[in-house]
Amino acid sequence: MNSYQKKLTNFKEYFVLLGCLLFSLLLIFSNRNEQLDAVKTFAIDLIGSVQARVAYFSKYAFLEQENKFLRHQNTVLALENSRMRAALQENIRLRRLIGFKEQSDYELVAAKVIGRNSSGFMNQILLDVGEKDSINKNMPIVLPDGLVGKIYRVEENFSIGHLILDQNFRVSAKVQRSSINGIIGWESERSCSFNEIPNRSDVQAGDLVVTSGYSDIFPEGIYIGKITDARDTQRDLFMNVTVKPDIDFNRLEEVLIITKYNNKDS
Amino acid sequence: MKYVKYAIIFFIVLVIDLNVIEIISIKGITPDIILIYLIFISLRETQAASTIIGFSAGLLQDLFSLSMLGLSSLTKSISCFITAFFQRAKRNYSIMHLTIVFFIITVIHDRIYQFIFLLGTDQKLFKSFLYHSVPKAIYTTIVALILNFIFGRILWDTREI
Repeated sequence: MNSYQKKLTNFKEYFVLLGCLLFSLLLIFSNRNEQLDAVKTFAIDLIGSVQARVAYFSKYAFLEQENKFLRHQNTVLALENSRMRAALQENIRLRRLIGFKEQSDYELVAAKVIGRNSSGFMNQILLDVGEKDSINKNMPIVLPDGLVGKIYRVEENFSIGHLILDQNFRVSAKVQRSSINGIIGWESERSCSFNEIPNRSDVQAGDLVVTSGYSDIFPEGIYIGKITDARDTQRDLFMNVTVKPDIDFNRLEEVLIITKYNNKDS
Repeated sequence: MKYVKYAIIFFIVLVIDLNVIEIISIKGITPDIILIYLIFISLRETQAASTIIGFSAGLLQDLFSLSMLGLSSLTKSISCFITAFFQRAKRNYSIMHLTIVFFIITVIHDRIYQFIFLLGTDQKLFKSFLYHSVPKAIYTTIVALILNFIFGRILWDTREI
């Protein structure tokens, strides 16, 4: 073995590492490549069918806790329901009186959450509905408790959604009370930041935040969460505002996807 | 044969990671059981083999999870490469040694992963280190020590598996 070969052997580990790193970087930079997309689609379809079966068993681990929660929810909702019925009647009467145009209901598709990928800044869910269920990219995912996220990738039988606690998620939102507009974005695994709100705006802790409707993706008025902290900043032009959604994203089992909606103004 | 066993166990760990691990999440933090498995392997194998195993496992994780392709393969290659530096002769690992290895490697892995994933965004490095990387590393280390307690005799058997 000559000295050149000896040197190569001595640094074998470093060459292996370099090769692995280069190949990984190549993959990172070609994430939009069609062939890679096809491989990924196949893998997601495969794991989707496995996860659909495993999810059936793993959900039993939460049954007792869920049962307790549902009994409590049931009582709360029964009380709320009676109040809502009275409010609905009043609402119908007032709408007719003022001549408001009836806002169309959303068209919703129910989906089961069969997989989850979360790591603080990345929060995605795998759903058991896809192209065959008329699901398209960017459709909003909701629950009665508020906005969950949006669809970002659709396969034939499965789709992937970005939760609002995902780093890549953005939504135009407003404070319900004062109509101050901003952009909701990721802050941590439990809360969102409400950005682009100028200092000294009429925003305070306890205010409710809803979608503003300034995009083609989300209808106006979907509840996002409650402001837990709102402070002016010294160095910046914008406030530091934190919003906490009510939804427990760790316990998502079923969600609704808005497949069609009519804007109030359209 | 040894590598086939590694691969079979890896797929079991992957399925647990993708489906069941949420059950033991604490405030959204879950232990990285794939990394635990790879660290155990890297403490047994040569540095070059560990790096390749880390790369392959990361690549499969990228494919079967919903994350960016290439990201886990990169972070897992580096993690396994560094882990191999902590190897000891005759696989004589004390609890303290394992605690340090698992904690450091998990923090390094998480920091590289987050840094690349959040490139081009307004990264809150210190905050995510404190509220994500450190709790995750502590949780991962605890789970790794429990697994070491259960499977230690098989893991550190000086004969090949």
